[in-house]
Amino acid sequence: MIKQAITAFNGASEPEVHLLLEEVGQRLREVDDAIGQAIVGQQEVVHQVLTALLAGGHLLLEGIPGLGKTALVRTVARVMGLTFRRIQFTPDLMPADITGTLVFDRAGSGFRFEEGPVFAHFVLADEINRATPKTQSALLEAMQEHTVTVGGVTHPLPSPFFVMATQNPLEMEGTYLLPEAQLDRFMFKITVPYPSAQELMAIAVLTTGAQVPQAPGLLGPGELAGWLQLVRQVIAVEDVLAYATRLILATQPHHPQAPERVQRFVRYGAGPRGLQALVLGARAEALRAGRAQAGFQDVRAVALPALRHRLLLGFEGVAEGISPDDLVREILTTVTDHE
Amino acid sequence: MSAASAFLKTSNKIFAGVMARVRAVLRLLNRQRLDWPDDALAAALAPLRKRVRERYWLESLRLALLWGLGLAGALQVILHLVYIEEIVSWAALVGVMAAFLFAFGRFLGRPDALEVVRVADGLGLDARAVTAFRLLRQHRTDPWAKAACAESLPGCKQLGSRAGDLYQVFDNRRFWMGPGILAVVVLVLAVIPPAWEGGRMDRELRKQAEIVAESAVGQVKGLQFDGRNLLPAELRRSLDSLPRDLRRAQERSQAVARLQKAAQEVENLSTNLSPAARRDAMSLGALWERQPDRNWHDLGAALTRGDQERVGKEAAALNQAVATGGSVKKEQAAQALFQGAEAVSNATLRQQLREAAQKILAGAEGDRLSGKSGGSSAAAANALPSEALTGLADAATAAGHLANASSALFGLAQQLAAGASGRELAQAGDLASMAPVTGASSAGGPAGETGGQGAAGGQDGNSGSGGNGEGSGRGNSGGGNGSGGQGAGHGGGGLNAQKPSLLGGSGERVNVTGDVRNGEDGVQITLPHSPTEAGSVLPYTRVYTQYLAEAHDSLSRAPLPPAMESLVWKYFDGVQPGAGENK
Repeated sequence: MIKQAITAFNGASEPEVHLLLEEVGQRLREVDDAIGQAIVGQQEVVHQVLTALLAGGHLLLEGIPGLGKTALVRTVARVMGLTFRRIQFTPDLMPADITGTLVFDRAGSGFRFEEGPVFAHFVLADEINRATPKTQSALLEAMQEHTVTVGGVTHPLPSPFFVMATQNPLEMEGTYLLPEAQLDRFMFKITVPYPSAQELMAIAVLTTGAQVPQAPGLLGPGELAGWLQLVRQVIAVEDVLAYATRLILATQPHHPQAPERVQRFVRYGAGPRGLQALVLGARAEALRAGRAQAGFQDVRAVALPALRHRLLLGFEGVAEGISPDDLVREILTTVTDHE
Repeated sequence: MSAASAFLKTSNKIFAGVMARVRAVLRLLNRQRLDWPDDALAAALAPLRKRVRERYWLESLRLALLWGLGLAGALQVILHLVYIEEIVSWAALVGVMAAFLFAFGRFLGRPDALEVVRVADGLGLDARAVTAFRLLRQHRTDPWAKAACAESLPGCKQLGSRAGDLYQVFDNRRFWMGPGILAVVVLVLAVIPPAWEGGRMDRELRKQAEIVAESAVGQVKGLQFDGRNLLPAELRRSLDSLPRDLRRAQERSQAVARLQKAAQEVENLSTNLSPAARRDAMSLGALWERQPDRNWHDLGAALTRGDQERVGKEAAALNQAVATGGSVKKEQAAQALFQGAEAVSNATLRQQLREAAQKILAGAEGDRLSGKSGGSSAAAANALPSEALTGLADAATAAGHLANASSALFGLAQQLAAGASGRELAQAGDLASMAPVTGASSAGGPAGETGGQGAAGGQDGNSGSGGNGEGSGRGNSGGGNGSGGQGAGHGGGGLNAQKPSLLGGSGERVNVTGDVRNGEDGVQITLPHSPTEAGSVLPYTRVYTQYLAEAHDSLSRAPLPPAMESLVWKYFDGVQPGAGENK
C-alpha cells in the first residue's frame, strides 16, 4: 500500500496523504526499533542519523573511539537494506583508493574502470581526518554530485548515496582537519556522547553473550528513495523559511542581528548549504512526526547538528575554548519565531 | 580595545539601532493589514483574537502613559539639574506629545489577522496556525496543503477554546515601571536641590538691580542746570550703558563693582556741582524754616527741598506780604535777611540779601513816618532777590537728584552684594525714584571735599539737618574741622567702635583713643586682588560691600563646610555698617 502511495503521491488525495504520513511514521518507528535491537542507547544520535538520511544528507559522526559509531552506521545500512562499504582513512590512502581507477584489461582492448569502495549506497569514511586533504577532497564530487570522474569519464554513484564519516576528536597527532568545503557538504555533524552507566551495562550484556543480536533488514533502496521525495513535499510556509533564514544570518559575525558572542568569536558563519540543511532537516522531522507541515520547532530540532560544524571560530574563540554548540544555542534563544 | 575602536563600535551599534527603529517605523507606515482568509480559521481563533485586541489596547494605554510619564519625568529631572526655567510646563508638554505620538504609532500597528495567528503559534501551535493562514490565503488546493490545513484547524479550535487560560489580557509583569519612574522623578526633584537655583537667584537679583539702576539713572540723565544738561556726555554714555553692563555681568561681584563705579561718578559730579550754592541753600532753608512767620517758613522749606518753582512762588508771596505788611513784619523780614546774609558763603548773595534787608528796613521806616502800613511799598516791593534764591534752589535740586541717585546706586550695590531679595532691591528702586528732600543725602558726605573743609559727615553730624553721614564721616567729631585732603574727618576725640559680639566679643561699645594727627602719606602698596586701590581711603560702606560680594563669589566657587560658612556670614553680620548702632 505504502509503496503505491509513495510512487503516486503527486496524485494522492487528502485522505491518502494522511494515510501515507501515518504509514511512514509507522515504518520509521519500526526502523527505530530495529536499530535499537543492535544499538544500545544513543536514541538522540539514532534520531538525528535517520533524520539526515530522510533528508538525503551526509553525516559526520564525532566521538571518542569505542562509542559504536561504526556499528551504528553498519546497523543503519543493514536495516535500510542498502549496500555498505567501509573505507579506513589513513595517511597513505590515495584518492584512487576511494574513487577507483583505470586498470589495463588484458582480455579487452584497453583500460577499464575499476570501481572504488565509494560505489555503494552507504559509505563509511572511518576516521576521515587521518587522510590527507587531497584524499579527503576525493569525496567532494561524490558527496555533492553523486558522481565520480576518473580519466575524464563521469560515473554515477548508486542512489540513494550516503557518506557517513567518523572522526576522533582526541587523537589529533597525524590528523588533518577537514577543509571547510568538505565540512560544509556534511548535512549534519552528530556528536556521539558517552553512554550512561545503564547503557554501559546493557552494552556489556548485549555484546558479550553467546549471540550478538543483529538488526533485521526492513527497507530497500526504492522505499528510502521514495521517502526522500516525500520529505520535499512537506510544506514549510514562508514564516518558517524566514525563521530558518534568520537563524543562518545570525551565525554571520558581521550581521547586525548576530548575538554579541557570535560577532566576537566566530570568523565565518553558515552559508546557503546550512539553510538547505535546516529546511530539509525540518521537513524530515515533520515527516517523521507524521505531519504534512514543518514548524519552528522542527527547525530548532535540527539546528544544532546542522550548524555546529558550520561555525568557524576565530582566533579569540579558539583561544577562549568557545563551543560552537553554545553559540548555536544562544542563537536559538536570541532569534524569535517572527521578526 | 582602544578608545577609538570602542567609540566606533558603540557608534555603529547606536547607528544600527536607530536605523532598525527607522526601518520599523517605515514598515509600520507601509504595513499592509491582512484580513482573515477563511471563516473557519477566523471562527476558530475568534476568542483569542478578542483577547489579543483587548490586551493590545490596554498595553498601548499603559505604554503611552509610561512613555509620556517617562519622557516628561526625564526632561523634568534634566531641566531640574541644569539651568533652564519654566521647566514644568515644557516637560509636561513633551510628555503629552510623546504619549499621543506613541498612541498614534500603536494605532497604526494594531494587530491584524496575521498577528493573531502568530500569537496562536507562540502559544503552542508551532507554525500550524500560520501555515493554515498562508495556505488559505494562497488558495492552495493540492492534497498536501489540504492535509496541512486539516492538521491545523483542530489545533486552532482547541487553542481558541482555551484562550482565556493561555493568554492573559492584563500583563502585569511591568506594571511597576510607571510608578517606579514616578517615584524616581519625585525623589530626584524632592531630594536633589536644583543646581541652577543659585544662578537663577543671582540672575533675578541682577535683573531687578538692572531695573532699579535704570530708574535711578533716569532720574539724573535729563537734569538741567544753568540751561544745559548737567551730565557730561561721557558720564551720560556711562550711565546709559549701566543696565546693559549689569545684564551682561558674569558674576555678581562684577555687577556690584559696576554699580559702585556709576555711583562714584554720580557722586563726583554732585560734589563738583557748586557745593557752596548747595550749602547756602541748605543753610538758608534751615534758617528760614525756623522763622515763626509762615511765609518765611514755606520759603525755607522750598529751599531745603530744592523746589525751584516753589521757591519762586514763595519769594513772590513773601515780597507781597512784606510790601503790604506793617513795619513789624518788615523788620522781621529784614532781620531774617540779615541772618541769611550771615549764613551764606556766596559774597554776591550775601550782598544781595543785605541790600534787600536794607530796602525793607527803609520801607519800614517809611511806614513809621507815614503812619500806615504798606505805604512805602515801592521801597520794599520786590526787595527779595528771587532770582538768586531760585538759582540756589536749582542747584540744590540738581545736587539732590544726583546725591539721591548716587545713594540709590550705592545702596543697590550693597544689597546686591548681600544677596538681598527682589523686594529689597525694589525698595532701593523706590528710594532712587524719590524726589530729593535733602541736599546732602544719606550716602555720607563726600570725604574731604575741599581743603580745610573736613569730612562732610562731621559737619552733618553737628548740624543735625543733613543726612546721616556714613562711612568715614560717621563719627562725631566734636571739633568738626578735618585735616583736609582725602582723609576721613579727624575729630578731636576718639572713635566709638563696637566689639563684635558674634565673634566672641561682648558687644559693648568701647572708646578707642588715639592721637589726632594731620595725616601721613602712608605706605603705598599694590595689592593684586584687593578691591580697593592702594593708598586710597574709601567709605566703609563701599569697602564692606565689595568684600561682601567677593565673599559671596568665593564661596559660590569653593564652598566651605556649613559651620565655617556660617562663621563667615556671622563675621559680615557683625561688621556690617550700622550693626553696632542698632544695638
